[in-house]
Amino acid sequence: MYVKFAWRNLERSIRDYLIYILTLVLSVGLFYSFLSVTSPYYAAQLPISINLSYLSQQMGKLIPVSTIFLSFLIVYVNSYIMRRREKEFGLEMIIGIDRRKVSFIFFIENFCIGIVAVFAGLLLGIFGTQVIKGIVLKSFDEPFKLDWSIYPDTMGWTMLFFWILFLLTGIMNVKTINEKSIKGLLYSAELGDLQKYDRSVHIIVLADLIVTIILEGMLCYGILPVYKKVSSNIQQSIGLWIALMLVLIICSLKLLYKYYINKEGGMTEVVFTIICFCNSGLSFGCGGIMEGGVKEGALPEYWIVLPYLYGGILLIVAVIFLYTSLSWTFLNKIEYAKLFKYHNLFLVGQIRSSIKKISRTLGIITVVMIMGLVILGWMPVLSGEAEGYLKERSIYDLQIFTARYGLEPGEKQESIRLDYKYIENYLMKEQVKVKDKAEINSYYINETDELQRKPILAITVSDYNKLRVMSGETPVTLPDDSFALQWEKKVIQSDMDEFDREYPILQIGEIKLNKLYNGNFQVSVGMGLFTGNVKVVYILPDYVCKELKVATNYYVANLAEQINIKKAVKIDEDIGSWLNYLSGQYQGDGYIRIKALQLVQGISYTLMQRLGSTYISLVLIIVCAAILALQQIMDVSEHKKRFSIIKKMGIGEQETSYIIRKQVGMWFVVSTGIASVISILVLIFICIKNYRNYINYIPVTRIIGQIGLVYILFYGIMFIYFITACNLFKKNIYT
Amino acid sequence: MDSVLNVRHIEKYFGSNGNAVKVLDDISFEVKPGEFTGIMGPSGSGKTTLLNCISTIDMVSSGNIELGGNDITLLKEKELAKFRRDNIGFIFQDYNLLDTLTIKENIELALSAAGVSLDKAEERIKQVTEELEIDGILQKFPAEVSGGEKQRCACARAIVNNAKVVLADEPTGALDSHSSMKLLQLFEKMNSTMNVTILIVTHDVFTASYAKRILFLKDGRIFAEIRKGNKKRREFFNEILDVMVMLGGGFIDVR
Repeated sequence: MYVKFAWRNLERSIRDYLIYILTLVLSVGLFYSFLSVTSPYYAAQLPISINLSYLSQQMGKLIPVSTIFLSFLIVYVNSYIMRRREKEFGLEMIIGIDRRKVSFIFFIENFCIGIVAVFAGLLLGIFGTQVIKGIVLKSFDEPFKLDWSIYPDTMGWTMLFFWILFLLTGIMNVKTINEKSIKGLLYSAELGDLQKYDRSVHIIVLADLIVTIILEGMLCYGILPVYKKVSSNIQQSIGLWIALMLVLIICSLKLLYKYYINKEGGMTEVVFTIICFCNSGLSFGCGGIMEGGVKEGALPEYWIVLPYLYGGILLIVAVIFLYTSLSWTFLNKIEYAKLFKYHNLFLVGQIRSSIKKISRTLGIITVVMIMGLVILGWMPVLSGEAEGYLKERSIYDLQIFTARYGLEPGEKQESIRLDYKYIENYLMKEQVKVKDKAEINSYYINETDELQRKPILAITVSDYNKLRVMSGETPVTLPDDSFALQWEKKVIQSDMDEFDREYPILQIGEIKLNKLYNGNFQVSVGMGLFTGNVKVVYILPDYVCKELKVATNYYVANLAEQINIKKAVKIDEDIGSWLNYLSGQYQGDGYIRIKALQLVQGISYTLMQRLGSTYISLVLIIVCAAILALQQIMDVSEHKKRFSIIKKMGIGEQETSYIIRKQVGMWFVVSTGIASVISILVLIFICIKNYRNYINYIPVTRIIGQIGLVYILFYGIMFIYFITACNLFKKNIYT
Repeated sequence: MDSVLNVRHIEKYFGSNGNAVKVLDDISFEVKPGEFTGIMGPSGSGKTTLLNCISTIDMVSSGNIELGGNDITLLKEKELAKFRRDNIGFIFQDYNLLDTLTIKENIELALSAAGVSLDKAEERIKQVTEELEIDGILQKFPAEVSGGEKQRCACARAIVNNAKVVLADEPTGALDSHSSMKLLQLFEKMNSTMNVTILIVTHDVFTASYAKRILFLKDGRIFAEIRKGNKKRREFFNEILDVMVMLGGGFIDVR
C-alpha cells in the first residue's frame, strides 16, 4: 500500500523532480561514457595497437573524485525537494501516518526516481561511449565503426556508485524527517526577508586580507633587497603592485569595519570589488614580468607562480563580491532608473526579495562556471600542443640519447659514449631490421661552453642532412664559409629575427662564418639536438667541427617494420638497463625513446587531458546550471502568492509568462554573461602568455573555433535549464 | 441613469455530474454609478462566489453580467485580464499587497499595468494618496505599516485607475475596531466625495451599516434588499440586524 502511495506521490510531484531527473540523467550518462574507457571489454574492442592502460588508470581515479561535485548537487536538490514537501509530510503525520512510514514512503519515491534516472542515464551513456570511442580511435588514426556495445563492469560500477549516493541521501532525508517536529514541518516556510545579512562575506574579506598582507610582506622582504638589480620595467610594476596591494588592505579593513557596524558593505564593497579586479589583472600582468626577473637571476624561482596564484584568488573574490556589489547598487540606486523601474515594478520587487539571499550563491556559481569554461576552452589547446610536440619527438622509430641537462654554471658533465655496435647487435638478436640509421654528435662551439648552463651546441651539416633524410626532408647545402640554424618548433619568427640581428656572424677560433641566407630551418628532426632546454643548434660545415669537443652523441634509427608494444617494452627495458650501466660509468645521463611506446603514452596522456578535462568541466557546468535553475523555483509559495495578487489586479497569463521569463532569465543572463566575459578574458590572457608554445602546432583559427564550440555547448546547456526552470516555475505558480 | 453593474439571472455550480452544488441560484440585481452597496449573508450563502463572478476571477455557469456596458460573460480569457485591470478595483480581506514593493510602488503597479505614463501616474498617485491620507508612508514596505494603513493602500490601488466599480471582500475582516471604523469612514468619503461605486461583501453588521443599500443572500438567492434612504446609520444598523435575525430563522427569544 505504501509503495502505491509513494508511486501516486511521485506522479503528482513529478514536475518538482524534473530538474533533478534531467541533471541525474546527464550525470549518469557522462559518468558511464567516460568510465567505459577503463573497461577491459572496451579495450578488447579496440585495435591491438592501442594501449589505454595509462588512460584507464588515470580516468579510473579522476572520474569518481570529480563526481564529488555531482554528489553535492544531488544533496542540494534533495534539500530543495525536502523543503517543497515538508508541509505534506507534516500533514501525513497529522492524519496518522507513522513518522517512520512517512520517511519510508519518501525514501521509496527517491529510490524510484533514482532507478529511472540511472537507467535513462545509462541509455544516454551508451550513446556517449560511441562519441568517446570515436575520439579515441581518431586520436590513434584508426577507423571508427559504430557498435552499441554495453560494458557490464562499467554499468555495474555506475549503478553501484549512484545507488550508494541515493542510499546515502535517502538516509539523510529520513534523518531530517525524523528529527523535525510536526510543527516544524507544517510551518517551515521562511518569511521573505529583504534585509537578510550574509555573514560569510566578511570571512571571505578577512581571508583575502590575510593573504594580501602575507604577500605584501613577502614582496617587500624578497624583492626590495634586489630591487636595484632588476630592470626599470620590473621596478615600476613592483612599485605599482605594492601600492595597489596597500590600497586593497586599507579597503578590506574599512569594509570589515562597515560589516561589523552596519552589517552591510555599501559603497565600500563596490570599491573593494573594483580594486580586487584591478589588482587581479595587475597580478597576472606582473607574472610575466616576474618571470623576466627570475630569468635575470634577481628573483627567487617561486615568484613565477605567486603572482598568478594571487591574481587567481583575487579574481575569485572579485567575482563573488561583484554580485554583492550589484545587489547593493540595485537596492539603493534603482530609484535613478525611474522609467525602467516603473515599467518593471513587479520584476523589481521580485529581484529585491531574493537578490541579497542569492548573491553569494550566484557569485560562487559564476566562479565555478568560469573554471569549467576555462578548463574546457584551454584543454584542447594544451592537447593540440602536446600532440604536435609528440609528433616532433617521435619522428624516428628509435632514439637513444645522451642528454646534457640539469647542470649548474661551472658544472661539467662527461658525455656518455655510446657503443653503436652493441646497439646494432642487440637489434639483430631481437630480429628488428633497421631501415636506416644515424649516429649524431653535437659539439661545444667554445671551450668555455662546457661550463655554461645552457650553451648553444653545433652539429655537422652531414649529420644534419642524415636527420633530414630520415625524417623525409630534402638535404641542405651549406657553403664552407657559412653556418645555418635549426630551431625548435616552438620558436616563433620574431625570436629568430632577433637572434639573427644579434648574431649575424659566428667566430670559432680563427674561422669566421656568415649566416646562410634563409638559413633558419625549423623542420622536424627530433628533439635530440635540443638538450638543456636550448631551442636552437648551429649547423656547421664538417671541417669546422673536427676541432670541436663532443658535447653529446645519440643514435636514431627507422625500422623496416613496425614493432608491437610488447617488443617495444622489451627493447626499452633492455637498452634502458644498458644505458643505466653506462650512466654509472660516465656519470652522465642516457635514455631511450621508442616511437611505438611514445605514441601510446603520448596519445593516452593527451586523451586523458582531453577526456578528463571535458568530463570535469561538463560536470561543473551542469551542477551550476542545475543550482541556478533550482534557485529560481525555491520559495514557490511566496512567488505563488505574489503572482496570484497580480492576476487579480488584471495581469493576464501571457504577460505573467513574460514576467516569469524575464525574472528567471535575468539570473541566467547575468551569471552566464559575467562568466562568459571573465572566462574569455582569462582564455585570451592564457593564449597570449603561452603563444609560443602552441602557435606552431595549432593555428589561431582552430583555437578560436574550438573555443567557440565550447561556448555554444555552454549556452546550449544553460538554455535547456533556463527553459526547464521557466516551465517549472509557471506550472508551480498556476497549480 | 444607466447601471454600472447589471447582474442578470446568474447561476453558478461547483463540481460536476452527480456531485454538482448550486452556489448561486438565479441572482439578478443592478448597481447604479456612485452607489455604495453591501452584500450580506451567512457562511456558504454565496457572497464571495458572487463577488468573484462579478470581478471575473470566476466564471458563471449561466446568466449575464454587464459591467460598464460590457457583458463580461462573453469575454475571452485574454480580454478578461485587461477588462479587470481597466474597470475593476479589488480590496481583499488580507490586503493582498506585494511585500516586495513599497506602498507607493504597490499603487504604481496598478497604473503601470494599465499602461499609464509615468508622469500621469505620479500625478494620480499624489492626488489619491493625499485624499486617503497615506502620503506619509509611501516609502515604507507593507511589513512596516499597520493593518489599517495597508488597507488604505489597497483602497488607493483599487481606485487609482478610476475603476468603474470597487469590489471589497470583507475589507475589515483583519482589522481592529478602530481601524475598521477609519476604513469605513474612508469608504464613505470615497463614495460621497470621489463618487466611487463600491460593492462590499461582509458578514459584519457594523460594516454593512455604512453602505446605502444591502442585498441579503441566503442559499445562493437574494433573500431581501433594504435601502438606507434618509435613515440614520443607527437605525439602518438595527434594520440590518432584524433582517439578519430573519435570515437566521426568526425573532423567537430575540425580541
